Amino acid sequence: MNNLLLFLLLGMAMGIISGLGLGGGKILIPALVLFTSITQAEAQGITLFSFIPISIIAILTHMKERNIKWSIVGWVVTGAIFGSILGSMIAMGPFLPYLRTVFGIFLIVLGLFEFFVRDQPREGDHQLRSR
Amino acid sequence: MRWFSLIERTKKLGIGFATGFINGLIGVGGTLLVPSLIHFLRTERRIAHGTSLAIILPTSLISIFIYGKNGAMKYEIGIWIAIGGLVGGYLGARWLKRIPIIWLKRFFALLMIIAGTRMIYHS
Repeated sequence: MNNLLLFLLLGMAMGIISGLGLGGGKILIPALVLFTSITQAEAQGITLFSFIPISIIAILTHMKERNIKWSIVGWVVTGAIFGSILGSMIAMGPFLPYLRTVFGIFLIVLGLFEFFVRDQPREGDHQLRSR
Repeated sequence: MRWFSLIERTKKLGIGFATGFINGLIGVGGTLLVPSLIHFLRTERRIAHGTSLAIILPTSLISIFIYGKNGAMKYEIGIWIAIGGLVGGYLGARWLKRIPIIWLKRFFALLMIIAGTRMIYHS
């Protein structure tokens, strides 16, 4: 029961971070691995799975505001299907023992990038626009 | 004109392949998709956000299927996190206009560097 509460709270924190546009998954995975007994592969699976309902709602909202360009979606998804089959099979196969290290390297590189590279202002983000 | 559309199509397939590969390998993927849509396909930021979601959803379903077949899916935990995530996502989107994102972004970047280091040196 205690664990359920922990997962609910972790999910909420992740949701807030991704709602702010800062990407929740890359924070959720290390939180699960470092603070619970969940393995790296399981943490990645949980993150992929838990984003499904969140992204369905977000897609519906974006569809209403006509923010989705379907001519891009078709071709990119075609490539992505092959990529995800290959990536997942490597993750579940030869890379399984090294997944945490691979993810750690990815986190550090992305963290350094996000720390030093200033993003363009976001639409509707008043603080950034008024600087 | 035909060559141009062929190049565009190849770019889209390439971006898709890289996105899918990262999505399957490390379980996240949207992070790099939004900037590459903006940079390589000259997509407007607002459109890139919406479009990336429509791309990540089917991609994640395939990754989930393969993870599940290999016994790496803990569906119950995923459901609880998703419920928390729905509530949190709503709150985050509402707070978006009131929080100075740039400092928060740097804070999380620092957190990622620390967490990444711990993950590598954690046995």
